[in-house]
Amino acid sequence: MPRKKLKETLMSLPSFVWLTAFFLLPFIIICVYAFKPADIYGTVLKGWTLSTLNSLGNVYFYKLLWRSLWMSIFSTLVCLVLAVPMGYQMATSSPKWRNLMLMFIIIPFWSSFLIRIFAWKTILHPEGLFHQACVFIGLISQSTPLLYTNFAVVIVMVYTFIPFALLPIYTSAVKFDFQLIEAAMDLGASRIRAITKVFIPGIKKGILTAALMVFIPAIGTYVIPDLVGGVNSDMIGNKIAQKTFAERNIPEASAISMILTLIILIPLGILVLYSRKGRNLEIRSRE
Amino acid sequence: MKKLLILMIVCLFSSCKESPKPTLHIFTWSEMLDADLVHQFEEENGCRVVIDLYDSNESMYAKVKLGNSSYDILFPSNYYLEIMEKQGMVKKLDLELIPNHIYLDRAYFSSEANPYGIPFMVSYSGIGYRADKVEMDHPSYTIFSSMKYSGRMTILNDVREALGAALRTLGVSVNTLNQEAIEAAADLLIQWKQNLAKFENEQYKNGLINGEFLVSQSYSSDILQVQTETDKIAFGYPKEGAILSIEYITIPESSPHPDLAHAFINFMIEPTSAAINIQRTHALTPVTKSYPLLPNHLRNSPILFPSAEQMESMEKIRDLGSDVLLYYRAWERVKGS
Amino acid sequence: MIRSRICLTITVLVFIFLYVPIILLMVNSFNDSKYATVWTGFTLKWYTALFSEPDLWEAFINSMIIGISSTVTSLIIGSLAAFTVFRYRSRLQSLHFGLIYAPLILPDILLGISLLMLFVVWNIKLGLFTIYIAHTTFCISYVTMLMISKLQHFDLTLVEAAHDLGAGTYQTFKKVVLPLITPGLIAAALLSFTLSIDDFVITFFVAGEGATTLPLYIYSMIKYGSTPVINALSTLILLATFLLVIVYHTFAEEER
Repeated sequence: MPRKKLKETLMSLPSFVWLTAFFLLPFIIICVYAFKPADIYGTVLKGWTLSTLNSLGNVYFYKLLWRSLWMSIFSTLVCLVLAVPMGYQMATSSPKWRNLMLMFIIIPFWSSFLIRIFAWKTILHPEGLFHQACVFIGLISQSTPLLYTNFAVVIVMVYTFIPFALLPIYTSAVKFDFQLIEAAMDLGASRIRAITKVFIPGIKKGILTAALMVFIPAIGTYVIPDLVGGVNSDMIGNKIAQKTFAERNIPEASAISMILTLIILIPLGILVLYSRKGRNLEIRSRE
Repeated sequence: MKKLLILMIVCLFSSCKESPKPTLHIFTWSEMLDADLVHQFEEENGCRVVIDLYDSNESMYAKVKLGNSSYDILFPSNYYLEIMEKQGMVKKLDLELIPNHIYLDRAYFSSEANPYGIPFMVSYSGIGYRADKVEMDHPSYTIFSSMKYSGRMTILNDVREALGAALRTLGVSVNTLNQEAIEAAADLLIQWKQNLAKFENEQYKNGLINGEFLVSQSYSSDILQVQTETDKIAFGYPKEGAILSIEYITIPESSPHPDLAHAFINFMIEPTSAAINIQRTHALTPVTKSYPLLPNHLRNSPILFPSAEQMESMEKIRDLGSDVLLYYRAWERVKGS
Repeated sequence: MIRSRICLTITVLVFIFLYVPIILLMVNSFNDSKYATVWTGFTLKWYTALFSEPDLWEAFINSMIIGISSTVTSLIIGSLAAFTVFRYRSRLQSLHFGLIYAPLILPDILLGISLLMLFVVWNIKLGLFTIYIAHTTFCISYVTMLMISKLQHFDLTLVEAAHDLGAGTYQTFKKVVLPLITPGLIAAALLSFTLSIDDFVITFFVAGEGATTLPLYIYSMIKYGSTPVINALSTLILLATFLLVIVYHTFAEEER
């Protein structure tokens, strides 16, 4: 092997080996386990079967899938609707303000997400101030629960994931040439039109990235429905955890995991095909 | 850079270093073992005790079966002990190493049968509620049908306990194998579900204290415990019948320190230890000699010592072997609806 | 005027939305009442109660050990990987890049359950070591991505110049490369460390007996523990994060 190639291979080896052993291989194991049978006590038996996958073809699982999908998509949309104006605001501010705002977004983002979910449990408490205020305004009645509902799950998801949407949109917005907006307005467009017709298409890449950055953790979320969700708020993540720990049915847990992977790979595949049009090594960084 | 590397290696190895003293690994429910008693045991036996917690039999079973773990002591409920016995997961106890077994209440333990576990905690599930906000003169499971406390009630997140409550309300045994009855119970449970906040095994304690929940299917021991912190919470035995469960202390087959484990069991059922632990867990450790050693409020507690009439209507959950699938399927339907 | 008042309003509202829960939490940690619904007086008792919680210290130490060890490992492996991907543009590297990128786009729960399965199949006992492996795995991806983006600004001609002036590989590395990538390394280290000490889901799946980390501890406190004490713990963590972010931003600023 020519020396340069040898050097390259050797230098790639550590990460290749590590990631293959601890990422690729486990993944293959999951795919394998999805096709194995299990007894009621949780021992995985020998042989292969499609019955595990078949057993997922029931109405309850479809309901679960549907619920996970619409809650995740809805949260993603809300995050985008909030993040785009914020990106615009930050990109059109002075660098000093920009950095300050960035820092203030990163702080909650980096602090323990469990704590932030917990904060909402206190806020949504049936006897808390927020609840009283909503009753006072007339939004809800005294006995309407806010906590342990789908509403709580969605609000906490938006709260948790909005920084994930903000950062890619901010990155794109900063690279946007705002002279285009000025030009559009000079040509007679109102500011709103300019934003919707020029700005938003201009940061398309950032928006798509943001959508994925919210949707993927949202659809796989486990802790949020677990802590603030109610009896009908279970999502795919909870089901996987329930199958693994409570029911110890590993093949079913693996099968559901595979389906989760497919749900994620499909929009991702579309994005990849779409971005093939602009072939850069555009790296998403956390800055 | 080199220093960092060395530091990292040291840190790595220090986290898997074997300590010179033998370590007893206990896997148990939270609030089950009095910390001072454990320290006493550590000192008397020159060992270290490490405690891990679980919140359901299923997750304990899963972890032991799945997790390649080396626990020395487990606390399965009676029906799970039956399962684990059949699976060869637990050791037969050597009563010679547990001389204190003679103090155990005959109603719960006999030394003639070869035991795989010693009964350690007798508790019942009933209805815990906020006495200051809920009126319940005649405790009954039917409260879960009432819309009055909708969104502020919980039922145990346990397939046998939840379906059991529904079965009792329909007048059927919690161990029935009658599919129609089980499905009817599931239907009832689905009705109740509309009024529930969550299915919850542990969090209801906190929930009752801070007012998130007003009515919860609870364990008697949990409520007794909570009552030491606040007097607003009461416990009622449902008239349809409470559900009895006994937690056994047992030694897994793969235990690395079986002798030490036996010594621990013996230590815990010694009357003075048992009395101290009852005050800790607020569940009955069936050691008759320990009862007189309890403080008054516990010795006379109707929750700790239910009346004969209440004991009559109680039912114990039994292992059903592979027939338990009927319950699992019904539970799946309840959870998915 | 490209400034938009609507955008400003939304921004302000979202910032309020982001911070009200956190501030409420911090305020309530000093609330004498057990119930967050009423304020009965200022107290530090929840903080003292916090420090007498026995397992907290162990959880903290475990988190630190794992955080530091997985950061160091992932820094080494990740930087090497970043350099390799950046330098060599070959099919091998495209594959390499894909392997690095993939963990970033999958939700934690998939990484968690697959690693659990791996450890079960290979019969590896669950414990601090398995948590270390899990954390290092996802940190490698983040570190690599960050380093790649920092390397984009890296001027290879400087390395060539050093070679031309007669410096050997090691010297070049020590005197030219290292000082230039150090800010990036520090940023990557901070990122990796934070991800490690905050990780819950993956850790939840691969933790073994006696192995508690800070997030696992917080979770069990939220489920089984007393509310005001969690408020106290949360406040401390939030303050620590605040400091960490300021440090991070200082180094990120120096880049420019």
